[in-house]
Amino acid sequence: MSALLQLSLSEVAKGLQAKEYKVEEVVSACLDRTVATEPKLNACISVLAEQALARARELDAAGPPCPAPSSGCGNAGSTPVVPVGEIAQSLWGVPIGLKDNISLKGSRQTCASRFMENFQPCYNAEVSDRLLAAGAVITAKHNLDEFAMGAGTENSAFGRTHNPWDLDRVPGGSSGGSAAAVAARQCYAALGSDTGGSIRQPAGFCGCVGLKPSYGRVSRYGVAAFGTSFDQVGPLTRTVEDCARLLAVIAGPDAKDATSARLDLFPDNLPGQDFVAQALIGASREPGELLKGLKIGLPVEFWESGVSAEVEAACRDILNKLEGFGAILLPVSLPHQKYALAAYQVMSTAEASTNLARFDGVRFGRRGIPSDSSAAFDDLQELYIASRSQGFGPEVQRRIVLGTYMLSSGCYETYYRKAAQVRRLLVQDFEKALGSAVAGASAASGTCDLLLAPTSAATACKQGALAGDPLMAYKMDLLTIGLNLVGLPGLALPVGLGRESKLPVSLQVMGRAFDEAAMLRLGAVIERLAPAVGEPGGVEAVCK
Amino acid sequence: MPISKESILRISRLARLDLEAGTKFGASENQVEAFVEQMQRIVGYIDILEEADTVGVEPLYSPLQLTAQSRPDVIVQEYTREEILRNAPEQADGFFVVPKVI
Amino acid sequence: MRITKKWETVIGLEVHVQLKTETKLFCSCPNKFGAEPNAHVCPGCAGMPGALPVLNARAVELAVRAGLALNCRINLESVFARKSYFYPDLPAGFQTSQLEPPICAAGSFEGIRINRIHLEDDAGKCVHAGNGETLVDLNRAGTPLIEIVTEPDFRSPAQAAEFMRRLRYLLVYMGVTDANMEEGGMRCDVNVSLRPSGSEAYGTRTELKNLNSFNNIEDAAECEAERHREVLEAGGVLVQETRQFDPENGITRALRSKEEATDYRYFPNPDLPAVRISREFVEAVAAAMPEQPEARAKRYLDDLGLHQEEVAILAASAELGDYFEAALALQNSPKRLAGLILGELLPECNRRGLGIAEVTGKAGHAGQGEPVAPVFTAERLAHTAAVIESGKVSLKVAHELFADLLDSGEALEKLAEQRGLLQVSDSSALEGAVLEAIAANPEEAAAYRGGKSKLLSFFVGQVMRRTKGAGNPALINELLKKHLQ
Repeated sequence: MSALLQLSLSEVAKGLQAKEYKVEEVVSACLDRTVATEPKLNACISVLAEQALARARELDAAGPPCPAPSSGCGNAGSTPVVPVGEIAQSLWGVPIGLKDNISLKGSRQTCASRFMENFQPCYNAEVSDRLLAAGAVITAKHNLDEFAMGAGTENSAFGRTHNPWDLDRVPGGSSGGSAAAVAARQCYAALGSDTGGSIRQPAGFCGCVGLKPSYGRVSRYGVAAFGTSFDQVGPLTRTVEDCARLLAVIAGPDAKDATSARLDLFPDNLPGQDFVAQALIGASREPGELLKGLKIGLPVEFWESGVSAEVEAACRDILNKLEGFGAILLPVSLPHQKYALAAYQVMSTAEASTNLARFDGVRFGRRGIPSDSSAAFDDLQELYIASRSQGFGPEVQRRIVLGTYMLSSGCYETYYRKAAQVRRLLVQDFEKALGSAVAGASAASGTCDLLLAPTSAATACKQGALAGDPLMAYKMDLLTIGLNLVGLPGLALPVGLGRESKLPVSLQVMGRAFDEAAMLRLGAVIERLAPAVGEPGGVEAVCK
Repeated sequence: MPISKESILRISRLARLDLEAGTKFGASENQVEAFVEQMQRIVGYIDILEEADTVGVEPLYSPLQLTAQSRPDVIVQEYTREEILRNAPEQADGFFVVPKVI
Repeated sequence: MRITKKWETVIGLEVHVQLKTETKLFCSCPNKFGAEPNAHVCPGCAGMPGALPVLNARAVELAVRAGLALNCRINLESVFARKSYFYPDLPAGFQTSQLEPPICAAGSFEGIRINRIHLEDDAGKCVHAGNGETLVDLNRAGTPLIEIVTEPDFRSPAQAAEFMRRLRYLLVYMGVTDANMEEGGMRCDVNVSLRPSGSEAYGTRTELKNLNSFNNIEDAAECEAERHREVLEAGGVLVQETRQFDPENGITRALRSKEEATDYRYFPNPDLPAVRISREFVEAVAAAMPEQPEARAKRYLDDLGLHQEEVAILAASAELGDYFEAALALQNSPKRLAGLILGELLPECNRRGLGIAEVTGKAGHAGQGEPVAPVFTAERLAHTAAVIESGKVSLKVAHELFADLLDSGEALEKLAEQRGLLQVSDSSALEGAVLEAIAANPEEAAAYRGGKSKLLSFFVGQVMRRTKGAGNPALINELLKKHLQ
């Protein structure tokens, strides 16, 4: 296997810019690795070998972009700013994968659904446009739980994905294909989507870094919607710095998404957008300098929710080190967290039930066939029922029925409105813990700068362990859904292997709204303090 | 609020899904029973919401909206009819076609 | 009216009006009628996965304008909801419509209370082909609509139909819509109930769907009220239901009842933040609104001294009235301007089959590549009036040159000069023609001198002929009188 695969995104991007190797070499290395590992992993729904190689040759022919003239921190001002020119081509030639619910012109978008097996979008997702504009090469569309509904990438019409650390275990979900592919070095990074933990939880199970941005930070345009008010697209990478680089490319307002945040409307201080600079600060300065006096909250409801001994131990190890460098650890309470999963289930399925109404077999997708295939349908509604019942898998059908019920007459007040009230209360809980949920606002004394908790209560479970028990499967998201309800950002990063399972353990950093920069800085510190997880053992190692 | 099997089947039809056993696309009776039982357990879990004291709390339907709300009234046409129709299961003369029903 | 005095008819209306915007409500596709099927469609209005709605600012402005014209309260925050049902003309599987709160509420017009006005998107169209297939065209999907809901304040079908006529007139005048009933630009649901005369409580109502002509509204309500009376007088019970009017047979029919009750599952559309507008925005919309037609007509009559017939035309269209007033601001000759518009411009437009907007240059963007004729702007109208007022060109010449004026884009006095038709107001220049006319008609001159003073106009005509109409009539009069003495 090529030594190029050992590099991080940041390293390979630098080498490509310096013409140390050709784009085609890097892309070929990734494609070869994909071919070699796919029989074991099934991380990809579509491998875009031809397109990727063609683009690689185009990029090679054009040559790397000229370095931006002001590659330092040009702008006067208190915070260092990564120059636009640098972001503009920061992913030049870098192979990146997309979760297959993200539109990319010229390749099919299945959402891991039988219904969508032949769908060819005529539009790019905004994030796809931004990746391409930054010079990235899209090498694959990754497997997921159908329409991103699941926690183990077991609900895919294209077969389950296997965890590269242990092929009998789930990679997490719903962005399990992306997490497995990044962990197995099929690509340098991937974009996933996170509705209830779907980036962070699989990143945790596969030993990757995963970030769910603040709601509104990244455009949702062209990403098949699951829970509209929960969904965010974010990076899965192998390092915190890589994560910051990818976020810098995809973040920012989009006129095509009315829920994308206009930071110029932000009250008071504009929160930092210097993701890369802050990650580099976290990676380079003395930990003591960065951690002294930093108030880190530990939400008791998260830590006391049945966290396994090995996860607790690995996380506590980090907490002790942070404290040793002068961080102040404060227990905080989020009293409405106990309602979070219920509120999430009500609202996300309600939104999903209407988001998935458009999959009716009239304008696109797989049209159902009558039960007696020679006969015609009795009426239009029968056609709909056939298309949807035949096209959707059981978990998707379950959530549609649940969400339809939550909105149906007589239930709206009891469930939907009530859940929305609980959502408000949970926001208030987070505001209390963080002083203000909004970055830049002055924190009251006794409140925290950031919060820390395990990403998941346990390491990756065995495949099939949750079959037949959807409620248990929903509980896999217990520690991640809170942030989706309140719209705050979260960063999951590996903190070593569990002492029994020898599987990656993940810690979650939670920050104020739009303060991903602070989260990335702390993440980079933790990354240095934590034992490296190394390469997954379920597939052939890249470096032998 | 417990949910009956009849409600689940009625709601599934409202969502244009056929969960009923023995019907055209429905599952076996066992599968339906399992589905109903799972659904009842999930709804039972969700009923924990009843305990939350939400008197006087304004519902929050979507978090953190610091957003532009509108666009200028200017025509942009980026897509051809062929692109729009490309994924249609059936099309004719520029229309999406829905097959004849009895 | 066949309903006996024993019963009082109660009617309420739900009126759907297409807004006059360039683009659809939630995407940038053209809002235009009559294109090839699915030519005005994008991933958004086709309901493709991941496409997102972004609200058209102009639609909000027009909804506010309608609200102000109908004396509504404008809600500074309003919310779009998803209204779910399945039909092939509804691409997303839900309509996006305002439930609570709507953008406008609690208004009144023509003595009828307006309950609310809300914004929503229209569905596409299904064409049922002869072979049993259904053809779906999404050009109309996403067209911006307002729905105006009245209280049940009408007491007769005729009153409801007359209200609709006036409502349409007002909304067209206000530039909210160019609703064409035939094209479905304005549609109406009519709620009908009967109650015993003198009773306060409402009876059971039925809803007549999708009426799209004023006559249909009246006929449908009339025949439904009659049906109610028959049922009630026979001691029967009415069912609250939705019905359809069959104008051919003059009856209403219950729409086939669905196997399941409709349950639209309304909830706030999470793709769209609440519509927030400022008080300043509402004030700006109010300031930019055309004056109400009655107020304008009164002003033209009382302040400008125009004739009733002139006012009836000038104040009937905001476009025309605005054009007139723009010219008036430059040339304070209301009667002359009104005369030019009514006597020259409009007849010329009619001859050419042009709308007033096309001639006055307010039509917006002309199609690219088409030759653009010079437009007769308010500035040019004012200038033309000024030239006539000054005596440089006679009204008669102006009339003769008017078509050229439109075609050439030249100023009136330039055209007149090129053709030697400038009004001659120089007495020495006219004197020759006057003397000539007298010399050529000695008998008439003698008769005039003998007391037949009516013959003066004969001589004016003679002089005019000799000057090709360019003589200043007042001066000619004066010279003739002098030389005929």
